[in-house]
Amino acid sequence: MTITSLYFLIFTVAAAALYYITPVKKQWMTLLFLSVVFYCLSAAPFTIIFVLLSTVTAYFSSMYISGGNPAVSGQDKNRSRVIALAVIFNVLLWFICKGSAYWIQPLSFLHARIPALPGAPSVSIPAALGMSYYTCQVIGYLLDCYWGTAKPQKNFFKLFLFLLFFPQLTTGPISRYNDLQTIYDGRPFDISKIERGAQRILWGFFKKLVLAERISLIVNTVDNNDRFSGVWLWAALLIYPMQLYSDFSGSVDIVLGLAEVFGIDLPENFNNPLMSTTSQEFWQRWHMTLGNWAKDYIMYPVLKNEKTLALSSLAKKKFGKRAGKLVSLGIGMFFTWLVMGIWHGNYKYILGCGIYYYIIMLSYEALSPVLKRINRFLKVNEQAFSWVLFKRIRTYFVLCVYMVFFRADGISGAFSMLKDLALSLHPSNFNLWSLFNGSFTETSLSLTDLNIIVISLLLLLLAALMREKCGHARDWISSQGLVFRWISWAGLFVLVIVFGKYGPGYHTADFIYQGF
Amino acid sequence: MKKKIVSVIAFLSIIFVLTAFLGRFFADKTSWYNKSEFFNAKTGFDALFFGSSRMHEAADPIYLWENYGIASYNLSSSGESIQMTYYVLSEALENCHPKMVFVDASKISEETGSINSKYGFVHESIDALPLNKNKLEAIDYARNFFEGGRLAFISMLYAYHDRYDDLKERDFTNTVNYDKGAYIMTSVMKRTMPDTFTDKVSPLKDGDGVRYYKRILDLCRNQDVICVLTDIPVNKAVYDEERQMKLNALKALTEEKGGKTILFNNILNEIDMDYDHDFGDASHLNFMGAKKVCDYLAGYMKENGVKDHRDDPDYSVPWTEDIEKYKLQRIKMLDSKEEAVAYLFGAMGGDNEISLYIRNRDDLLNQYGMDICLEMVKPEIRDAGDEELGGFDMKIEVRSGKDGSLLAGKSFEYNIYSGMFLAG
Repeated sequence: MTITSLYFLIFTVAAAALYYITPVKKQWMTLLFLSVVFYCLSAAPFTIIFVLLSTVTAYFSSMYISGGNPAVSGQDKNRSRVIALAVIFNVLLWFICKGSAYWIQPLSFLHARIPALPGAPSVSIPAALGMSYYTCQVIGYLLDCYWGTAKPQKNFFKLFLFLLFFPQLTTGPISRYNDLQTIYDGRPFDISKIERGAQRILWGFFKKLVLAERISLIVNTVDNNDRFSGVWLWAALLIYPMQLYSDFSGSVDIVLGLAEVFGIDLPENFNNPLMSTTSQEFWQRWHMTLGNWAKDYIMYPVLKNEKTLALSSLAKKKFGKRAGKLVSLGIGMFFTWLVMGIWHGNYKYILGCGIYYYIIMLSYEALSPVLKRINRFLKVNEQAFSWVLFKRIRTYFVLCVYMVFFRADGISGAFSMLKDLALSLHPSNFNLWSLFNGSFTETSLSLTDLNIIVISLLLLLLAALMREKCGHARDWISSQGLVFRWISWAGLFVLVIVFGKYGPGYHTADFIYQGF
Repeated sequence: MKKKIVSVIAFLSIIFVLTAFLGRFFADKTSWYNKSEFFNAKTGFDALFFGSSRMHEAADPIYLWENYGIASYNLSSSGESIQMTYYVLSEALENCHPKMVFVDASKISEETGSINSKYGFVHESIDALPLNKNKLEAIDYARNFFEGGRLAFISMLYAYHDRYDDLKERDFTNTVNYDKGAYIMTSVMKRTMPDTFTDKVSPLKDGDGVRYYKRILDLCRNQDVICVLTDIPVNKAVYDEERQMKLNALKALTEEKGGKTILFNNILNEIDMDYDHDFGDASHLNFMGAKKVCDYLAGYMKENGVKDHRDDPDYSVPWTEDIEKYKLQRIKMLDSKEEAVAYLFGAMGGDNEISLYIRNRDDLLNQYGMDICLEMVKPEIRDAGDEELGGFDMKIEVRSGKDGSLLAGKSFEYNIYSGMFLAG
């Protein structure tokens, strides 16, 4: 069951009805029941055992450390060992199932050269639904319990619900245990919550079905058809981030809206990332829950590590204060980006997401004093709209190059794509006219579809600008009169049901971030 | 809270109405265009025609009424498999009690696990049927062969919401087919007459099509309706021995279950079929071929007790009204004719006066079928130059014989490769 299917909508309505007729104190049990049902309808039911295994390790290890006395040093050592073992177990489980690309490729490579070594398994490795998301949650929970920032959950089933909470199984977000305590609190029926949830779900459907699906037709055609070369490669490069953004943020809107129907607020995952003026800002606005998770559980611990502090202080002594800061930042960011790359489950992401952004952001940090001096010399007004726009375009372009790794089939595919992009700039290949000679109709899009893309992007831009200035557009709509409100939501509904890409014979693509 | 709930319910009601309206608006109207006049008919029908496009373009109820006083309706549609014919027939028999039903033999498949049709064709067959047990059964059967499940046939919005680029005038005006469900072609194409025949019979495989055909025969027998298996004239290329053996087997099955059979391809000379002029395209009859088929069918119906209703005002009044509407519709439909012969034949009839302006008379007879067309239509042919033709090579004008007012007109360009005058 995908979250854009009619079955999902029917499931949502039935789930909400069941939730609100359950006595308030027992509503969390209904959520757990619904989560199990959703899981079994959306994935191979037996894979729920992986979620159970993670829950078991998290439950018993957190129970163990909550029972011990941290003041006793021997026990303290045991506590860290138990937590480390639990974290390693979950990471290993993830590596075996979800991160199989990391060991299958080397195994195949080695087996081809040394046949005596075992080869890659011939069957596909099963993985749990949303494994990458809930593994982060379980690690976060274990570390929070260890650091004392969270109180261990004494009820096994409540902990199971924390990992299995069905709205976030598809595409996240990655919730922190302390932030998701509200799933255990019952709440009476509140039509306003359902209304707001439905509005957000509708907005998510709009982003996915109306916009992302249409852009994907262009991008997929360019990727799979040699006839589309030259300027089309650049068009696909520049438009793909829009597809990924509308796809991923659309799915998160549906998920957050669904949670709102149950009166639960999940953490936001996006904050207008395409309005960012630097890559650093971009990652503070894009997939925020993964970024925050990596910051809290990777970067800060690395920065606080004795060896990092020692290296930083050595650099400070030898090369000055700024060098010391750069060394510590460099080490912290290295591990953060490495883990972020690894999380995506393929070598290409380690290079594309991890190393690429690590270099970009560290270079920016290192060169920022020089850049500031140049700006001062050139008398650049850094508050001017034109300068902010330039920075946004620059950040967007950096993102476009990163997306090559997202789209490409492996590392060599990404480099081959980058090479094609460079070669297509040759005047004999770069023919702007081919964008206007009607060849776009071969992408199965009509002129109307192209207009719909433009109108949808304008709507997205309007919502983004409103969010920058005065918060969520739906809050603004809520403050308007009844007629305007109804026309707005009914209009969006019509846009989705008429111009949404769905229906018999049309296969709506899975959400891009659904595979994680 | 109460106020809020009322407000949400009111909004949801608007959304519900909006959804229903949009579903109806975006739906492909072909099925309603062809069938709604049957469900809204003021009279009963003595004969009904079912099947695929071969029947759709061969059985002309207007011709049968005007020349024989037979009240009939053509409920066939493009690419309709016998399975869907069963459901359309079942629905039709709940609405009227005809004396005879003619069932097209061309789509009775012996395959198992195949609907022998396409998604769009199934819609064309069943969309206009009221949503009742019969239609739900049809949907339940059809959903096994197409993506989208039952919803793809129940929800018009789900099925057709992406027709925004294909909307036609019909989508805004809800026009219906006054030709009583038929589509009569006016183009001309040369085909080859079948000339080898066999009496051999092949054993029928009990595939989905055959099973459904047996259900049709049983249904007709139970309702005391004569079911006539009808094989419409076809081109020689498709009338091979295998097809004939299967038709002979179907004939035996039909007679065994109390039905009757007309295999037109075995009596082509008897009905004076002209393979030079009686086809409108590769596999469908035009109005001349349809006329011959209908003449034969009319005789057959009379033999089986079908009455002439022309003197019965309960029939003649509504039929006369409909024929007037049909004549107007024919003129309107001229605009969709893409070549000159189809246009001229389409304009023929009534007291219409037809003028043909031509740049070069030598080109005129290069178009296949133009000779017989000019002989039958007898337009007034005038030589014309650029001034009258406006850069085209031919212009046809249709004027009312009563007041000389211009009813329709179209310009054509001469295509030297095909030798045809094509709409400019």
